[in-house]
Amino acid sequence: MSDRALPPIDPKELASRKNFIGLEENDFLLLQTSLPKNGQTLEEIARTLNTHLAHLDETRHYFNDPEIAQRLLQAQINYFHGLFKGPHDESFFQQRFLVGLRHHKIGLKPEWYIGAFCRYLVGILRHIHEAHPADALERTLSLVKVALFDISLTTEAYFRAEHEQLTLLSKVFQDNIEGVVITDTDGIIQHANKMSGRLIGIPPNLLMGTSFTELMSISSASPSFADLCSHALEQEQWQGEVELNRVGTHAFPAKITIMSMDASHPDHRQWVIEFTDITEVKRNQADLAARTEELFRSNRDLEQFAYIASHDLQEPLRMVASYTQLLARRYQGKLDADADEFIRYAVDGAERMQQLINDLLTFSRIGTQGSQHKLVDIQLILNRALFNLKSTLEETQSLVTHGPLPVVPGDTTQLVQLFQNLIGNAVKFRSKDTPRIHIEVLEKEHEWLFSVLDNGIGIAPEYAQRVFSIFQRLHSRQEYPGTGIGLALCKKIVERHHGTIWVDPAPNGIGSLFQFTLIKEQTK
Amino acid sequence: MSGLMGRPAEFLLVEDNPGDVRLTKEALAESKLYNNLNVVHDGLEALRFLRQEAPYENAPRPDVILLDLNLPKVDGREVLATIKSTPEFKRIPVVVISSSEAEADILRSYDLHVNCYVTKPVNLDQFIKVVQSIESFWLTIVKLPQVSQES
Repeated sequence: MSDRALPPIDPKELASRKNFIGLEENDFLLLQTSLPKNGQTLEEIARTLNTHLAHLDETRHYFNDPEIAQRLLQAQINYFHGLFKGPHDESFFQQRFLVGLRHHKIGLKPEWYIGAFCRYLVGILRHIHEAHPADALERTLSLVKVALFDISLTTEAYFRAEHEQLTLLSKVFQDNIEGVVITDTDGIIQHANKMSGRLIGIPPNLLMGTSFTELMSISSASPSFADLCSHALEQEQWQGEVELNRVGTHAFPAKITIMSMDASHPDHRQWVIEFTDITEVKRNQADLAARTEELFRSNRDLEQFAYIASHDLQEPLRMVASYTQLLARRYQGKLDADADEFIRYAVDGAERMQQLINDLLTFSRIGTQGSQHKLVDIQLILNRALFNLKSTLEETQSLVTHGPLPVVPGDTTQLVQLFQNLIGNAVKFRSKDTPRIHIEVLEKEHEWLFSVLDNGIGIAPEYAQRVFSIFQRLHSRQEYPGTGIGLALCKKIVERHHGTIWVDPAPNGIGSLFQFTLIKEQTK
Repeated sequence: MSGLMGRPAEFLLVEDNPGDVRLTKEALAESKLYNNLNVVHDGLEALRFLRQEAPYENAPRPDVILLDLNLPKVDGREVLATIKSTPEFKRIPVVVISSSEAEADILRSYDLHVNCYVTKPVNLDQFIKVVQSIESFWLTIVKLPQVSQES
């Protein structure tokens, strides 16, 4: 306990306290001559007292250790000695006070202190009566006065320490950033802190005496206060959201916690209710939900748009392409060289646009198709992808090898497309060497890690992100034809399967290492 | 083989896109088979043509119908349903030629007893090939119903 608990003491205060009890100079003189001449006596009295204390539950454990027991004995002898010898000045006052604080700190109660003191008095009074039969009464009175003086100081220390603790706890209660009220069994508010008053909109002292039920919004669909209390009883506490009334304005959503404070009798049970205003939290949640919904809708619209646009563009484009082709078919070589060139560019442009629109259509279909996945065997997926690529693989004499392949939840068509695009890409971007592609799968805790390793021209690390963007190309059309949609499609497919895809240079520096994950189990 | 006995094969093309009409004509013009292409531009005209209603009082009975699905006024699906549920017309082979690759359109057409479903190829060479294949298949391989055997 801190020294803040010590009351201010000055000679005047000390004199006034002595005066209350009637302690006079004469008493101190008598006390000094009443002290047993022989130190033995004081020690015997202290020993008798300690024998008693060693049998009390509160103090027994101090006497288990002989060293501590010896120190206690000496402290007691000094204590009693000081009682007789004085000086009964500020330092005595302070010392007695500290004894009280120390006892409070270790949990010894005032009644224990007074009881021990009484037993001591019994011993010492007996001694005085034997040693000073002539003026035993006078000496006894002096001793009683000084004993009461001592006890009053020590017990005051107790109360001050207790008070200091309560002040601190009360401050914590009062200044809590949450509204806190304490009610009786029936929910009548007995204590209300500052924040509770601020939240409800009236001074805390006016909250006291009102029923917590009245604070709860009637429109609120939540259960009654009594219901909440019975929940709190069952599970130590109840926590949830209710609407609370704010005086003079509208109700506000609050997060509240109800705890029961157990009492000796169920009728005396109290409730501690903490609550905070979560209007802001709710608003943020609602904003977030609205934005998520908005994002979802715009995403869906965009997918829909891409689908419709690419689908509807196909018709007029088919006309452009067909008729430029018809022109070429019928008039190639029959007009002049310029006409031939113009026709060639027109046919080429229309064909490329058809390819782009086709790819875009494929890309947007991945988004619009359902995501309910069945278990599919990757071995079968790979077989189909390889079958689709058969002529390309044969032309380039590519060699595709693989380790054991798992069964995963997924969309067959999309996964075939994924493998087909990755292998097709590896073949397309081959180096001078015969293409070699190896597929390996590693089992992780929640997912499969697929790696597709090739010996092609590789991708510079600075392009590792860009290759997955739609219509992103790293090479001219003359070098490598294509619309730049293949890897974007792979990324979209993998993401539709709750996985991720990335690319690194091959570990040996020759070629690329594409890696992607697929989850092991369908998420609900 | 076709049982046409020397007369030209009568095709009815139901197509609202003049570009496609012309392409189909071009494709058939390149073929060596003896045929006559009749063209109507919406579903309503198609039904009038079949029923020989004005202005098609002298319309021939088609040997094969080439039907687009997305048509103004009366939709191609409705035309198909009407043809296949009318005893007088239901034996006429109907080939749906559509740009739609949607599974729903394909299934619906077969549910309505289409004789075959073909998607319009985007490439001209293939388009011509497909039209010519349809022509040669229905006119030289398939045995068509004799009109005299109508019920």
